[in-house]
Amino acid sequence: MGWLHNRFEENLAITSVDWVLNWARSSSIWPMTFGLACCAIEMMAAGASRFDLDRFGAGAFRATPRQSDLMVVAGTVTFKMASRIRRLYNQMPDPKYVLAMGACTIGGGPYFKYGYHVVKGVDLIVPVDVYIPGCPPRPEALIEGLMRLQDKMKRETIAKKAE
Amino acid sequence: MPDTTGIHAEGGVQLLQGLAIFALAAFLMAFVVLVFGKLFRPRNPNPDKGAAYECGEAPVGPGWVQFNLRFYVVALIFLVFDVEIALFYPWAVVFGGGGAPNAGWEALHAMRAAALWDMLFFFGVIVVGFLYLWRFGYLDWVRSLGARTDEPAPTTAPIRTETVAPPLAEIIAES
Amino acid sequence: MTAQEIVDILKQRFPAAVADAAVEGLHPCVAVTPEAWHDVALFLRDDPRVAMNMLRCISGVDLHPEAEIDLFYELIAMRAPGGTARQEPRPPPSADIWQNGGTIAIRVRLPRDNPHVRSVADVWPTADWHEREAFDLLGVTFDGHPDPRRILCPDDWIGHPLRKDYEFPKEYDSIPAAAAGAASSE
Repeated sequence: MGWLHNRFEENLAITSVDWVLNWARSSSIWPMTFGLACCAIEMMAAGASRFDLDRFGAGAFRATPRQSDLMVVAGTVTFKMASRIRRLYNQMPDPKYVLAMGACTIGGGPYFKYGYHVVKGVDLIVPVDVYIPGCPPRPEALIEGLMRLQDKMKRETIAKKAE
Repeated sequence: MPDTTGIHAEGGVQLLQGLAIFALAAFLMAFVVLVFGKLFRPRNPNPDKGAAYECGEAPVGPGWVQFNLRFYVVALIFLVFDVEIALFYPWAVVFGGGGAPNAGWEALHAMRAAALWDMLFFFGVIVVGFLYLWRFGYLDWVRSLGARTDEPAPTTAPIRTETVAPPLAEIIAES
Repeated sequence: MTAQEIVDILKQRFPAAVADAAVEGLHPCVAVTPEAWHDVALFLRDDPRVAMNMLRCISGVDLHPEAEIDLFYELIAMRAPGGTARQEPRPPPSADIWQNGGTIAIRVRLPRDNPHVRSVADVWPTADWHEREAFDLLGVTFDGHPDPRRILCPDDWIGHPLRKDYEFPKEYDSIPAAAAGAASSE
């Protein structure tokens, strides 16, 4: 964590700094260009002009994990892909967030029972912040999930955690 | 009675002051941003973060590899044409027509003539480089002069003759 | 060329290798013994009457309670516009579309335990990946294959997943694979 983290009790100055930091971070979530299956089509639609993720600061899909804050796991996660996903997640700079988009990503979806090759939920690989159900979720649902993630980001603080 | 030397000296001091403030502001802007980021950003290094980015694959070998020296030549060739375009376009826009300056027609003609000869000289220099590239084969990817033959290049990839079964014509001829 | 004519030609040329044929219905099919399959494949491709110049698919079927695996090679003869596929010099095109000159499926029945068959990747190059897939998912070994690796599953995968008695992995790459209630054969 940074130098200022967990150093001060919560007070007016710290909460103001929190507000600025969280406002900046949640207003410029840059997702990684990363689609695994059909949900990625909905993600592309969400990024395109009709739904326009850029209204919420999340439209800059970065082509490398080094520049992204958000990993939208959009699609079926296979065992063959799992190690790649974990590596990509590790390569993202902190703070980083994960959206699990769609039924396959949440828990295996239609492949839950007879899919020998599907990871039963991407939370077995990387920590997930927001789950978006649907098969696939509509772009509105993705935007809703993004806003829930923004809510979560706005609750973060650099003050000392209550024991 | 104004003392011109004093005015000049004062102007120099003012200039130095301005430069100093400018340099300080530039330094502070970069420094404050860096310190600010250092204070707030989390720092969680891990081995994957230090590794080369290979689209999620495990990187094979180091990121520092040798590139073919020909890419250097390609970059220079690109520069030849790129500089040409980058200079020709504004030159054509400015001197090629449009509004007449206030200086009158004769001055305009003189200026345009000078611009034309200047550009022709520049173009000549570029063309020398271009002819050099052409003459010595730098425009071809296959560089070696010894490898050149008069035969046309193969249009398709060679067939894997060792595994492919004999073609129909041979079989018909045998049977 | 109808499937019956193809079967007749095959029976005349390979009387020992060609067994039962089912030419009726939507999926005309003829069974060929695994030993003779490569010769039959070469004949099917190169005989000017049949000229099966395209392998569309290789389907594997695990007949689990019985101890056999079926491989279906789906063949089609694509006729060039205005003539047969391999006629030289090619006549001027009377119709500018390629036409279906006949289709047939070849069934090769293999023992379920350690199945082996000669690869036809040298006859139809497209068989290369199809055979890799059949090896990956059903465990059929293709002798003489130029690149006998898995194609879909990871290289360190255990077992062949489309076998009916395949046991689901408990974990792969230290990721728990069997969720509660999953992978239980009903």
